[in-house]
Amino acid sequence: MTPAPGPARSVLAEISGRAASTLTPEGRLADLGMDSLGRLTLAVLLEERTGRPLSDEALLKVRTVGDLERLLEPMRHPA
Amino acid sequence: MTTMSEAVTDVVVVGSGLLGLSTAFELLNRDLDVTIVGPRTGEHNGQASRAAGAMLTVFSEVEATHAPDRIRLEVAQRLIARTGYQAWLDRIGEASGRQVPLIPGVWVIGNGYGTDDTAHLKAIAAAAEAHGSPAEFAAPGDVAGLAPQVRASEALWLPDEASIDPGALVEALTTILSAHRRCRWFNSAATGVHEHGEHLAVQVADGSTVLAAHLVLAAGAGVTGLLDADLAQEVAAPPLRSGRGVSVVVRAPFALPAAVRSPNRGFACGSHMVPRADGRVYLGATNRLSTEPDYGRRATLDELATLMHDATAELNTTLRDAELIEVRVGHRPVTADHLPLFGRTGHPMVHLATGTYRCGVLLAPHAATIVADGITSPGSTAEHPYSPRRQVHVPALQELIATSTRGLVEMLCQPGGSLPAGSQELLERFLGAALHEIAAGSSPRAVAVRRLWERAPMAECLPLLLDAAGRIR
Repeated sequence: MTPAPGPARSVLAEISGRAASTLTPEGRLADLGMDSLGRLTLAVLLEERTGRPLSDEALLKVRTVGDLERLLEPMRHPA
Repeated sequence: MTTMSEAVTDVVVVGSGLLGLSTAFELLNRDLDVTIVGPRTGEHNGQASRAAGAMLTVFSEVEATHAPDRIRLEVAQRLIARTGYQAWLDRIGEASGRQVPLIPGVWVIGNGYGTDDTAHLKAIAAAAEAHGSPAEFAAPGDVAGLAPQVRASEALWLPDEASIDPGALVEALTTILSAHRRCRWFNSAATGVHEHGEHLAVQVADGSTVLAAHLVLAAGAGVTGLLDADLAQEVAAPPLRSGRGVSVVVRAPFALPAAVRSPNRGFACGSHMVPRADGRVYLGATNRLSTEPDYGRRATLDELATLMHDATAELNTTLRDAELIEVRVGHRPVTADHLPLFGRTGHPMVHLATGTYRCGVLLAPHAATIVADGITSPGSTAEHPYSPRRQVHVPALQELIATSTRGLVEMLCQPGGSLPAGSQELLERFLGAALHEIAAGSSPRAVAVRRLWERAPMAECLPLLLDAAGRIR
């Protein structure tokens, strides 16, 4: 059984119009057509789903799907 | 090639576009030692100076909807720059041995595409006449080179405006500065700035460090991002964004003796063709606000298609047969109030020469004087209306939505495109109502729209708001 995708992949799938199952950690956001507006909508939807703020600066450093999942990691397992 | 070296100088200028080079030239004329940090050779991708049409537009940048105070201020400042321009070019010509000619006059044409064109042309003529400068209405048939698809309804000749080849101007200044014994030039980008004892230290990409008593930041919208956190806080520069523009130079199948332009249309930049040497013609320009400018990104086919479409529809249909010589991308630095940032910042050793948006080539010598005054006679320019220490007025989003949706529909239609009778107004009203509801709401769309607006609170953001709202499905 495939586990349900986390918020990163499900929101990326929603914005890019691709199936979440096709997204790999190495996949680059730029290759998913994510420009600056795409990143902004990504930030807003992730904030809504996770309830945690996500700054523009933090998101600017994200290059790959894996980067985004690591950025959200502390949110899923709060200390 | 110098590496890991440390240079000490009176003033370090970061930026090798026209604002940086003009400022360096002025400072050298005041007997200061100057070091320039910025690419001298290479492609200069993204540099606004070399992508500019470079019309010296004192009056034709006026829009009918601009506040009278803003028109008075901007026209007066541009007029100061224009009045001294030929003498400045003569000084450059003498020092470089290269004459850079001004081509006199600019035509402004109005057509049925821009619903407010008549009002814009009236406002432009009124601004010229208020400053004692001629503005002559003429029949569009009198405009040499004009043969558009969308018939022009009127034309305005502004003999005191002019155009120039900005590439030739950059080259002439480069010749002077490269040879000047008190000028050093690091042919490399700056990577950071911090305070170092009594000096400011500029890190250069080649590993060198420049120590200076004064720093001039003149490298466009991203330049304040070079400052380390402490310095940035003290400088307290108003935010800068960039209007990305694509332009081309072609060999046109007709003669063009003087520049021809449409008026500005709100956030949608008009079309213009500008004569260059040897029968070449410059065509400009697209204008898209970028919140995170990518200076290395080349022109997209969509940008080129928009440019070609508008030029053939509004200027001359035979441009379809023109031979493409060069494509350039430039990023015009712009502030929320659309006024430049010239002179001393909140930090007494840090000065700005940026934010010139569409008027950088015209304003370059004026900026150089203001910045140099702030260095050689501190305090003299503190109250200048373009001071980086001014309070920058930020428009309200709902106010902008209420007044700018017409421009949005015009931009979507492009020149030559038309909607059935009555549907233009219908779409305007609907877009206004929809954006108003979204911006006032609490949905993720509303959050995205407001977040984008906070990042770029200016009219040019409106097309991006439409895009952002539509991306959340």
